[in-house]
Amino acid sequence: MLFDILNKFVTMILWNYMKESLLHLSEQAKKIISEAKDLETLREISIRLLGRKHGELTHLLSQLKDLPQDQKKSIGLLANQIKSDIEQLLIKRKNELTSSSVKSELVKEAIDITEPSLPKKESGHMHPISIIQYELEDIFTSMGFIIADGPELESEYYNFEALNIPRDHPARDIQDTFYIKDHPGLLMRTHTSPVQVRMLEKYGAPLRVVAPGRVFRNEATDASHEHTFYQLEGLVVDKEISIGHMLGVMKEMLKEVFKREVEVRLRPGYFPFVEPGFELDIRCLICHGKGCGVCKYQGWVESVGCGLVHPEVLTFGGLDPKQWTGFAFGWGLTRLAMMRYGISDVRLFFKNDLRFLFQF
Amino acid sequence: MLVSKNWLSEFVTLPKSVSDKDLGLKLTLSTVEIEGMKKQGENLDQIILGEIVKISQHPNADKLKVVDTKIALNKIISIICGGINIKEGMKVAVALPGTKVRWHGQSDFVELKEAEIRGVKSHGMICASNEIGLEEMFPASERVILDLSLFTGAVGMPLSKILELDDTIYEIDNKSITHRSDLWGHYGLAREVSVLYGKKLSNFSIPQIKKGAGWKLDVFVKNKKQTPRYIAVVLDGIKIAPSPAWMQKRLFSCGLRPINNIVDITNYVMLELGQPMHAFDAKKVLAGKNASTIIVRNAKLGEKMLTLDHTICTLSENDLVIADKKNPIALAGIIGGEKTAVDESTTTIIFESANFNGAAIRKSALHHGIRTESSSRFEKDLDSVNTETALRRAVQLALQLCRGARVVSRARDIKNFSIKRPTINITHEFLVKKIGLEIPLPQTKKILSNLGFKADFKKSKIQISVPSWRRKDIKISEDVVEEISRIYGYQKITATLPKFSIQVPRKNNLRILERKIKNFLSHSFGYTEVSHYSFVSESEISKIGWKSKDHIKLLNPISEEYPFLRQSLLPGLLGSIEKNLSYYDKLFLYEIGTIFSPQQEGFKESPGGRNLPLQALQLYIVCTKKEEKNPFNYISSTMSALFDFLGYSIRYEIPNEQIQYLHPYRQADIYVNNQKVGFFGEVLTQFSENFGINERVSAGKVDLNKLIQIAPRGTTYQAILTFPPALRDIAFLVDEKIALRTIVDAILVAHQLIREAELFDIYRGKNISDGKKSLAFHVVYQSMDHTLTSQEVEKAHQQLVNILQQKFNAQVR
Repeated sequence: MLFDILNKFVTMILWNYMKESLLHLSEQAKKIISEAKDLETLREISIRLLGRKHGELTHLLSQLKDLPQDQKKSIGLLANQIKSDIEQLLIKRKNELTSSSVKSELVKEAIDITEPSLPKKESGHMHPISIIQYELEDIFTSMGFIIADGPELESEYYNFEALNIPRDHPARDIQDTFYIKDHPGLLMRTHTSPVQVRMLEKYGAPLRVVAPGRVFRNEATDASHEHTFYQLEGLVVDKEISIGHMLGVMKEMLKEVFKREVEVRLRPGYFPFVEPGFELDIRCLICHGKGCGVCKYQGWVESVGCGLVHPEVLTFGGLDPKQWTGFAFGWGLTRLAMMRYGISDVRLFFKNDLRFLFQF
Repeated sequence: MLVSKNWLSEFVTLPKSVSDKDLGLKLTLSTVEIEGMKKQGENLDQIILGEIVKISQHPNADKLKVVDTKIALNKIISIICGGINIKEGMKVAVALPGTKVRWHGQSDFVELKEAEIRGVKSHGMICASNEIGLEEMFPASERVILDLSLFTGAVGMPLSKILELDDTIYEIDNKSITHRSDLWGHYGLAREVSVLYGKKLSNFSIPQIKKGAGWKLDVFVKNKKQTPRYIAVVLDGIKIAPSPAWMQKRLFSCGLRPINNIVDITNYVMLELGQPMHAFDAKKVLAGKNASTIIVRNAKLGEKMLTLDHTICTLSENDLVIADKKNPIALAGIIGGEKTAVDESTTTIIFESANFNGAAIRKSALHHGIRTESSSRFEKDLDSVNTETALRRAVQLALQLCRGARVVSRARDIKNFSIKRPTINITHEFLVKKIGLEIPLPQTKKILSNLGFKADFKKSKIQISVPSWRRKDIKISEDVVEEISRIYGYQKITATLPKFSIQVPRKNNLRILERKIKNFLSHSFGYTEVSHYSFVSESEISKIGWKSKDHIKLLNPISEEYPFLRQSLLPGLLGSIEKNLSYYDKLFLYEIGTIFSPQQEGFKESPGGRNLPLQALQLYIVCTKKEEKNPFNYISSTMSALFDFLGYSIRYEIPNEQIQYLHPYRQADIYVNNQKVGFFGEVLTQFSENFGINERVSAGKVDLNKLIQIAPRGTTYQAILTFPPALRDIAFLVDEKIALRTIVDAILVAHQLIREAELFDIYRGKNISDGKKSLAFHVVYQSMDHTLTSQEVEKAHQQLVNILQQKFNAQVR
């Protein structure tokens, strides 16, 4: 009995002692940490207080084992709290001391940040037409279009006939054509439009497809004419497509290409494979319609030929024009690249002068 | 085609408020693009009429004269002039300082300044026609001054007044009215203008030709199918003379040269109504006394005719001709014959107005290489009703212009066409669906009737009958959609987005591969993409040792130099190396493009038809660096990295069949899964030198169409080995002839603990005997289930040494 009381009494004293000691240690720690003058002293303080073998806190805690369970817990909590406080104070003080002491060291390591690492890593370049083409492909893919391609050496059938341009039709003169020797009926495609019927045959309807590629015209070359250039053909076939839909898709596409809203206008244009056919002009992005060299003082720049797919073309593609409708468009990639980069001579694209190509 | 605003105004009266620009814009937005607009006499307000008073020799120049020129009642100025045709009393065009002229008709207009020419002051300029933009009206020749003596007007008056140039001329690209034969004349265009401005179009009604007598005219049409209509009539009492000034001016304004009254009438009617005409000298088409017979027939094979442009045409059965009883006298719809042409002595003429099948005329014109104002109109398929109007108009003008002229025959009219108007049935709903906008019915009605259509409305059903002048271009309902919406105004259509399914678009693997390669080479490997024409020259082909006869050839190349279709991208790339080596020491270039192989087959020519020549996509890489003796390695490491990036494991093999233009001991084939997909090597200097390159060049090719057939290897995760690896280096000498890959393969299987072997040095030269090379590897030993002891590693390494010694007779250093 007496032993029990005595025991309780001793325990209480021990508990009190430990609590006092911990609080005292905490006070002490705060003081000496804040007074530490250099990193070395701080390291010593850290060891003195928290060292695993002989640290003061470690030492205090080793006496915990003599306490009963419940008291052990409350002292333990307090000790942990104090330990984490001390650790944070140490880090804080360390940062304070470091920033001032290390500064002088870092000064010595100053470098010239404008120097490159040598040898210089050579970067390569993509052709400007490829850059523009891929930009457009990404826009169209995101709008659900298939990226298609077709042969550059084409047949009269796909280049003309299937596009509602029969033999001996004057519309064949609209595009000056390269024909193939000893192969009647073969030619270099004059536009990317032959891909329209090829894709209708391959995929049927509904269909959304674009086909970028090289086209050829037998024209004399000068700063604004090339016999070889790039186009991007687009074809949408679905139910009940209207001129309004075509205009909507064109505007959406142009907004993406030019990264802003563009003002457009439609005017009549003649392409035998669409009916009605249009030329779509965009308000000049350079002068905003006031008139400048780029738009030849018209305020508008001719951009895209387009129109509702001619029923004859749908028939050639194996579709019933009573059921299916659509629109098609053709865009000059070369011209777009010229506009984008301010290139005034179309011949540069095939000159392969690296002083030109290295700019892209 | 050039269009005169004054001429249009004869048929439709436009309010004063309509500016030249406004009319142009309206036509552009609803009918046809106006490509250019020129106000006549614009530069001529400042150029004045002068009269040469006195000519004296320039003191310091043989070819120059000092010309005293009267430019106002009491003002004479002195001008230096080198013209060879000047004489005293001649009226000339004078430009005073401050006005704009074009020196010798070349370059742009620049401001004229007072100048001193060889020590004598010149106070202006006496102009040639091409120096003031009048070369079309007055053809210019070298050092010939424009002679205005025939014009009335006081000295000092501006030329614009003297020449009465007060018209505005619009320019239309003929290609953009390919489908609209009705727009090839002013009256047709005036109809559009009247509809666009809601103004009345004046009637073009000409009285019937009064039947005359005195000349017997017979017309026989043999080819009825190709001659929908042929009308001719004979006029006598003709006196050939220049046409009146008003007619000449109109022709000039529209780009035609006046010739004489009769020829000018035919041209005038053509420009007015879009119907080409022809006039024969009736006395040169005689079939008995005061009688002519005209036969429209196909030519006989080998028949010859001298045309108006003095060339002999050899005809065939495909050509439609106008003939007398024996010989062709005109190539129908294209050009007249010289023998029956109107000349100064002509007194009796046959006026011809006809309509021919467009395709036939076009074919014939193309075949003979003769394109005329006439054939460009006929090939568009003309209106058979207009044929008669045109003839009446021509006769009317002839009677008006030639005093004493009279009709002396019946108008012979052979009709092979149906007068019935074609009809098209549409519904209001169809219009709304197609346009995406509801145009009120009354408006639709008005547009159609203004354009000359007859439309019957029964509730929402519309039956449209097409006027004769539009029957070639308005055939289906969609054509009607265009008519109504373009006149209503495209700007009124609102943009809407269609509803589409969210299906993921099908992938184009070839394009994806192409793009991946471009991205890698350009953005990670320092290569620059170049792009060459698909056409190559004979010399480019032979420079690489190939034969042009294996190549596909163009029938009509842009220049005889580049007639072939490329079979490889290499010649182009070598050309680009040569071009750029003067600017850069190092060139890493590539191209991905189509090549054309006549021996192999590709896409279909038509459904169920033959196949086109194969057009494969090829990648070609070239590298060169000044003074580099072995550029081979650039390509080999590029290829390794590229294929690794693309997800393919490749092997380089010594080729079974060598590439003739590559170094025989510096070339390799590229294999993926035992399939050859390309090759690379060093271009033999004899070939690179042909291109003017004096450096060694390496080149490599990949067939993308072959590669795309092979699936890239997938990636499967391998557990990370937790037990530490042990590293040992090994260096040894081996015979040069032993390929590195054989050695690497042997190292990797020398012991099961060997994980990796990385070559880090190759050395030849000092201290190494000839024919040997020293190789050094880092070898990694690692076990999957325990930490290796040094004895274990030692043992394995020793085994490697033994194997290298046995297999390759390696001397380990």
